Amino acid sequence: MAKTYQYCVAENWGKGFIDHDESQRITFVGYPGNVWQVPAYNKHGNLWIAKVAGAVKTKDQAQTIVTAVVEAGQDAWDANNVDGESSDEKIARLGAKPVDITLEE
Amino acid sequence: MSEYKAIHGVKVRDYTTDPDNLIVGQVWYDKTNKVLQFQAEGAASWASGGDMNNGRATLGSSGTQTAGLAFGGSGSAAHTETYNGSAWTEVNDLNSEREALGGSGTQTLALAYGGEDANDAQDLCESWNGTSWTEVGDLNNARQTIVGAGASNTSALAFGGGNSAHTELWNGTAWTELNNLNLARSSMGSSGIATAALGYGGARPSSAFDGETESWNGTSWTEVADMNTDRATLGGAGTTNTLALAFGGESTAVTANTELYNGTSWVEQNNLNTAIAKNAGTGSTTAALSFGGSPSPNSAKSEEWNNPTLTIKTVDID
Repeated sequence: MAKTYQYCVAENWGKGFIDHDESQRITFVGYPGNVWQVPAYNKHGNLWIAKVAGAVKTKDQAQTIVTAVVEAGQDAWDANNVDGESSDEKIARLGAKPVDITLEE
Repeated sequence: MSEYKAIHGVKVRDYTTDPDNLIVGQVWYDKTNKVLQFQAEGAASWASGGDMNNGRATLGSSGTQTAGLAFGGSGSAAHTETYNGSAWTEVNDLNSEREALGGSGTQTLALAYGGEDANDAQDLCESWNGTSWTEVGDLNNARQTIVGAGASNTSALAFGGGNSAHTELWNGTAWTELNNLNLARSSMGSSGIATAALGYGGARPSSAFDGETESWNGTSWTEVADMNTDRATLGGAGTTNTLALAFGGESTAVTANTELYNGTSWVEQNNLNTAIAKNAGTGSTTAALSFGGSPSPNSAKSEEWNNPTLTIKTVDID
C-alpha cells in the first residue's frame, strides 16, 4: 500500500519554519519530539523538508520517537501528585494525562 | 496540447507587476519573476511565528497579531513581552506574579486581572500603559482561569473562572457586577469587547470539556451555537461577538483543532500545525496569534493565522 505521509525530525526555529504559502499548499502535523508529518510523494512536502533540513524518518522510526516522549510525559503526569487531590482536581491542575499517539502510514 | 487562447478566447497577458482589480481565476504571466500566476480564493492557514523569550502556559494576552502583548503565566510568572509580528521583546513585568489570569486591550493599553499565585485565587487588577503596569481597582470576585474581552485598559469585561458565572465590567476606575453567564465555567475561550463579547468552551464541574457558546450584548448572555469540538484551556481571537476564532485546547487529548464562529455557527478550519493547550490568543479572525501553552511544558512557540479573502498563487509546472 502506498504511504500517505512522510515523516521527519526538525526543530521548529520559530518565524519562517512553516510559512503561510507552505501551510496553504500542504497540511503539516507536528508531534512530540520535533516529529513532523507532511504528505508523501508531494513536491511541496519534499521542498519543506529540505528547507528545514529535516532528518527523514520511516513511520516506525518516527513512532518510536513520539512514543518515547509521550511515555515520559505520562510517567511525569503519574508521578505528579498532591495529597488529598481528586482526579478532577489533578486534571484541572495539570491538564489531561497525555494520551498515546499512533502515527499513520 | 490545448492552448489557453483556444479555450478562453484570449491570450495570457503579461505584466511586470501584479495587475489591478484582480478577479478569482484570472491568469497572467509575471515577466519580472518569469512565472505564471493566478488569482485564487483565500486559504486560511497557520504559520510559525516567533518564539517568546519565556516559555509558559495559562498566560494573559492582548493586542493584535503584529502588535501583541503576553503577560504572566505558568510558574506564577510576571514576565511581560511584546510581539511585533516577527520577534518577542521583554518589557516591564507585572507587579504581581500569577497565572491563569484574564487579559484584554491592546499592546499599549491593556488590563490584567484575576488569576492565581502559588497559594490563592487573585482579585488583583493591573493596568498597562505601554511601558509599565500599575495596580488599579480589584475584581469583586477573586478567581483563576478567568477570561475577558475589551478594547483598552479603560473598558473590559471579565467573565467566568473559578467555576463561576460571574461577569464584571471595568470602566477605567472600578469593576461592577453584571448579569452572570448562563453556565458557570472555567478556562473558556473569549473574544470581543466589553459591549459585544463571546465566551466558548471551557470546563464545568458537570462536564470536563465544554462546547457551549454564549454571546454578550452589553447587558446579558445568550446561549448560541456550540463548538464542534468540546474543549477547555483554548485560545481565542476576534473583535466582536459575531466573529471569533477558537484554536487549540484540550478535550480527551490536546488538540490542534481550529474553528471559526460566523455569528450563527462554528465552522471547521485548517488546524494549528501543532496541538497545544493552555495557549493564549489574540487578534482577529483574519489575523490571529496563538502563543505559549503546553505540552512541551512551558512552550515558547507561536503560530500566526492568516485568512485572506483572496490570494495570488504561482502555477506549478512539474
